[in-house]
Amino acid sequence: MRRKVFWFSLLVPWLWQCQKDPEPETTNVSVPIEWVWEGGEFRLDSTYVLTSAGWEVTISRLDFYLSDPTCLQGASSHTFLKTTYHSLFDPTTHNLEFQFEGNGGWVPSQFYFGVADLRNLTGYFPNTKENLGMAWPDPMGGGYHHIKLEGRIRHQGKYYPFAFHTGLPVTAHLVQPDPTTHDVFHVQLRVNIDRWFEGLDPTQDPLYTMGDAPSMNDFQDRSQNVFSWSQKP
Amino acid sequence: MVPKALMPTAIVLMAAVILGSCKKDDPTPTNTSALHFVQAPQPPGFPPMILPNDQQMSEEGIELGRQLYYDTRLSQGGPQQGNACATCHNQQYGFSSFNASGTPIIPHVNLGWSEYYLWNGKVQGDLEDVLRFEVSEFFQVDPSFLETIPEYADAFEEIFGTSGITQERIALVMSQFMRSQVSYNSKYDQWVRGEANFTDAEFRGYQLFFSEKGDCFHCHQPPLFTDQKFHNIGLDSVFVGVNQGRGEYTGDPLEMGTFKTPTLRNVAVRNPYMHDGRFTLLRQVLQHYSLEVKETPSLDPLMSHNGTIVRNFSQTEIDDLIAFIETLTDPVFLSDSTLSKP
Repeated sequence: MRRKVFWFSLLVPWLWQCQKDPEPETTNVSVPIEWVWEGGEFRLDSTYVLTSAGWEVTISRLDFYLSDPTCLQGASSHTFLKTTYHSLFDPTTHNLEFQFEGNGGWVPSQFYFGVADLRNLTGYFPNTKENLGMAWPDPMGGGYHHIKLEGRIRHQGKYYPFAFHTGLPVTAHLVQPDPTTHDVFHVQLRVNIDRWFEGLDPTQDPLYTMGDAPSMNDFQDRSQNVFSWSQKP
Repeated sequence: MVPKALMPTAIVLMAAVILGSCKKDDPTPTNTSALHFVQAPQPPGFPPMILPNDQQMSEEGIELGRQLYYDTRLSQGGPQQGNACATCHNQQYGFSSFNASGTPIIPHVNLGWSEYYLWNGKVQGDLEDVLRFEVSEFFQVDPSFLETIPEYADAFEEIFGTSGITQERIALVMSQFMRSQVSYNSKYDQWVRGEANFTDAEFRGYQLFFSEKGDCFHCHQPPLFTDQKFHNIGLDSVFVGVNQGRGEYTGDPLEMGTFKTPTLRNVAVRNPYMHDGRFTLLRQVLQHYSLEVKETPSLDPLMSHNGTIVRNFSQTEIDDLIAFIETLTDPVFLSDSTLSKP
């Protein structure tokens, strides 16, 4: 009996010392981004890929921000006040990250394409290489680009370089992708790159949007058709 | 059963087991050497410097790296015999050169933020990686020769805790010194911090630099004044030899004629310019951007503004741009005694 008491007396403080404080339940969710090219197999090298519009495109840069994703749970909704950077060429950015308090049952809904207006101020984001690369110079209005999409179109033997940059004075555009019944655990964000070139005529339309608010707005509008939710394979 | 006489010992042992099982990781470094560790430089507004997890900077490591940077014995017996890094990378020219012939010397400044090295980015990684290349391939350093120099043998042992000089160790200490080659005290930096005023010409140049007409800022982004990327700025119509740029190395036709964007920091005190030194004056560089850009399939998309590839700068605009670019000269960096020959 004394032996049992002895071992027990050692065990209790040990259990007490190692006990962790209970933490509020949070759920980390990572919604993967799927990059899609309708016209053919998309490649990250400089291979030209046919667009659905009939000309060939190669992309050398595709970086953008998404802001304030909203998720729905029945009649209620929750908006995550955050802006995230994504780059086609940087696999570490190929996810939308959420953190819920509690768990489960949320359906992704909408977000803003670009930097939310209240955050689009010079120096708002940490001075990482990525954020500095997206900075919009102060003499031109300050803040950050919403997107930098660069590359070349090849059409009938001619080359048309494009640089679709949008930023101030254009504001972030609300995007409401196709509704889905899949919750955030089973959904992915599909980025259909082809749609950014939809209805574009490289022989006539502006392919350099900087300093041209109407063409920046046109580009932002085309972004409405780029994003959709789809079920994870 | 625990004998009564051994009970105190058993209790002590159990207590030790208990405390050990609940112990958190000890964050205190186990290195008890006399090294004085320092943080990587982090000027305000700059991105975090790239520093491998296993690399620690110390005053002693930086100092040894500096000695090697200036010591021609580094190249003893190798193809660069008689030269040190500082032979071509002269501090008064921003750790580059002035009026030198051959391939223009890439300045050793702010390389702690770089991920690609050499004009075509052939060496990729962190500073340690490029110094491994420089030590083993460019200089072909003979560590056994350096071991015969007592002060080096002692210094390496002090820093690494064990005797012996290797190419790896040489690369590690030299990268420590090169991380300290940081320029952030130019007139431009002082102006950003509110410590200096621009002249009218400098301010006009600043506005033009950060405008769609000047369009310098897309590639020469502050605070490093390089985007660390590769661009074809329309220097050539045909790409042969060294003019192939990164395309020679990657074989990618759309990388023909592309080169890593050089920083503009201290650019006014070094020359010649471009990967092959074809221009000796900043004015010639700006004349190129103004009227001489050549259209090819690999021309960078940022060089063509809806089919227009000329900037058509006036002489006043060129003067203003030069005035602004000259504000990127950092006299503190160019004369910093901690970076000078020991």
